[in-house]
Amino acid sequence: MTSSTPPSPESGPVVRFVAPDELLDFRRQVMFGFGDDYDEGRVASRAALTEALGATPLCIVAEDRGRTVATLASYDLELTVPGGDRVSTAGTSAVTVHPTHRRRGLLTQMMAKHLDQARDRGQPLAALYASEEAIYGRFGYGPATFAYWLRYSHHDVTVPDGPAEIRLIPLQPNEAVNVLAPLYEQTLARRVGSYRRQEPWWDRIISPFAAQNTGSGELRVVVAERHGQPVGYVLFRLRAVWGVTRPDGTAQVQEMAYLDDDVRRRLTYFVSNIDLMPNVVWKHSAFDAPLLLEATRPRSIERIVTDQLWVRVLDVVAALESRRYESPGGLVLDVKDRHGYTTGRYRLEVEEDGHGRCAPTTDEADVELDAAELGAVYLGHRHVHTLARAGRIHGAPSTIDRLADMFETMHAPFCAEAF
Amino acid sequence: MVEIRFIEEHELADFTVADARGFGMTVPDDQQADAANRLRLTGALDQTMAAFDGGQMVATFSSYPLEIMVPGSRRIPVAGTTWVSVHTTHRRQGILRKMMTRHLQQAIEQGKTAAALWASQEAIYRRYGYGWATQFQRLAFDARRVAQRPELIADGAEIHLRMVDRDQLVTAAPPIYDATLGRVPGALARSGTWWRTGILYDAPEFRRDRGELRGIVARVPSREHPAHHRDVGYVIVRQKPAWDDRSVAQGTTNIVELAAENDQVRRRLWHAVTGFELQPKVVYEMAPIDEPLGYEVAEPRSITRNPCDGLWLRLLDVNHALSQRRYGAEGRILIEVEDRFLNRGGRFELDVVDGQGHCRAADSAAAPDVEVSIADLGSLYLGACTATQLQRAGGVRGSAENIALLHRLFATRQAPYCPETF
Repeated sequence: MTSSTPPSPESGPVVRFVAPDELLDFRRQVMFGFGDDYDEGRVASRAALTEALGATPLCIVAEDRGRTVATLASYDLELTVPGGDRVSTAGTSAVTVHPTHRRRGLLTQMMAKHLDQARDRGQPLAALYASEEAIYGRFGYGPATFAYWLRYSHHDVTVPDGPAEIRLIPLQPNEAVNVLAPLYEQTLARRVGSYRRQEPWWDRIISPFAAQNTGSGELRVVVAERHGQPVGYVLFRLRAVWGVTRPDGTAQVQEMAYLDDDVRRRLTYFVSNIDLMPNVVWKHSAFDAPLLLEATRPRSIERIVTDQLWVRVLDVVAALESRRYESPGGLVLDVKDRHGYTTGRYRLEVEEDGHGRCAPTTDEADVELDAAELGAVYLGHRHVHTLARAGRIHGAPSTIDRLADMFETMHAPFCAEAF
Repeated sequence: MVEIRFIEEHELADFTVADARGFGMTVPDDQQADAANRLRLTGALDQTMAAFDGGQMVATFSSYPLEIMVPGSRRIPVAGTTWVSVHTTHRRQGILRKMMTRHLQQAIEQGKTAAALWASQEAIYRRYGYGWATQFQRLAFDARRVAQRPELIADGAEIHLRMVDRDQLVTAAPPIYDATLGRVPGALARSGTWWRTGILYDAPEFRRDRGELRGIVARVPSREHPAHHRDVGYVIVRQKPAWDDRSVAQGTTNIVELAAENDQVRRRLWHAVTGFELQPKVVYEMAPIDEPLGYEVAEPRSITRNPCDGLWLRLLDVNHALSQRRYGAEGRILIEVEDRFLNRGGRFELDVVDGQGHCRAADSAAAPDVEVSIADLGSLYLGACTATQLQRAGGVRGSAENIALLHRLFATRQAPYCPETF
């Protein structure tokens, strides 16, 4: 126990940072909070990851009479923003409140501690994946990247193949990391909305505990090579199912990286045409995935739109000066933030080269929006007008147009992995 | 020997039966007359053809004279490709290809800028130069789990709603449509006949189990004369009551079409249409792809969204088409259009000044900035696909800089939307 003075029995739960020797318990409580079975192997694996990432001192718990009743973890992420810069981001994760302690403001207290800490450490952004979408808007997070979950049968849908000169090589996951990691850095890590992967993240990906909840089979790796050089990979899982009269297995695509679209076609064709696995599932496919334009019968591809990364801006000036913009122009943003981190008016001036200068101002505002909406538009997803039409961004039609022209990007932002 | 020719008026009833056979549908006798009437009334009769084998119709094809809105609020004349069927006994004989050729040639002679269609299957029409040019999405949700944020409904108290029946819609809906939905790129101009034989067609046999057509019309006090009112929106629905085994009401409201002058009106109509007692299930078969409802409710994941290709467009006069729309950026670009089916392609110079396009056939010696197929140009034209997307799918070729210019020129702020099939 690290608290200097133990709370008296009458006092309520105390919100505090986690001590190193509490990490296993922290992870157990997270599993409880998510309704997972306790699995000591998985608990240890997750605890080791948290430790290896150096995230232990950032984790927060609420403690009630010596018992952990709520959890919140934080990872240091380097998030790629429009233009390619990396922005230091507090990755909010493992947020649970035990059902016995709901409606007591514990999440609000933990979130305040978490966001204060991120601000004090100079992180302009926080980001998370939401278990449920009604929770995080009030803390200033807005949905910033979207993806499709896809499913199709290769009996119905044909996809084009890439050139045969691209060779496909299966590798054991544990011997593949030194091939995968540099490819990830060159491709997915550079996608707006994705983050760099320090080595411990790879341990998590190849960990046998990773697929435990999904029942989708063990991790498999196929690497694409051109002239002997690795140019892409697909991480996938196979689940063999024998129907009464024919095989009915599923290939689930977890992650695909490629240097160009020929490699993408080669890998997509491969994973869509595995014997005994007529069903193909993509856990998350980019919103502007070319697959939907290339497939022979796209209506037969089942699609579910999913929100991915939610972004919370903590430092408007640093965040807006880190990204680049699609068109030049000036705009005064009036940001409302009930938690105070970003409250104020800011003038953003974008030069011809797409670089922006941002500073507080007292000038009249062109656009009014909540911190959550600033997070929602920050990575460039094309929904500025839709947010305005839904009453979430306020401004004259011409300034909404300018906001969209400046902030929206040609390619859809995409987060390669949930955390 | 199969003969393809335009049909005579007395052959219309046979034509509707032959078409239904091609689609595996049944047309009751009294609907044959209605279906034939639609062809007659909409002026499609002299563009209606069939293939005959020994006196029997084995394939059908027709064309509606349409006008479609393009970005910038101008309309282009379009041949609406429709009633396309080939009987299974006569497949793989080139009948569709022959009819399509004749149809598109006729459209060119009539000065149509493009042809357009709704595809029964999406794999058929690309080879004839059609590309999908609008999208829609099917929205389905349980209104008990999807509530609009209360502050969004609070304002707009001056908006007055009234329920109307189908006959009242015939007079109330068209002027509202013309001022709202009808101005969205991809929308059709609607004549009175088109309304009555299309969206507001409500023969009892046609309802199946979805209930009769009815609507809600929104109006606000006129600014000049507060005693007068002005119609500003409508929603057209069909309803089906149902109770489950435990007597819980599980009725469905099917939204046929929703039009609103502004977002406040749209929200009020949504509020009304999700508030029907006994009808918690809401289905909107052909919602716009950029419908904002998902951002107005606490739990958008509870809304099932199924996106689908909508209207397909086949450009016939590239010069005229590109000169009619407005663009999102300024610039000049040389476009090589490939048209293997009809030879309406070539090299075009598009020059955008103050947002307005000027297009002309270009000196063929110059090297093109971008190359695109006629089908992919159809997908670009109304703004449904971006040049960046098409380039990644292999549909547009050019340097990164020129693809970016093409992207900025053609991308639209509003998603194109055609709210009806034909």
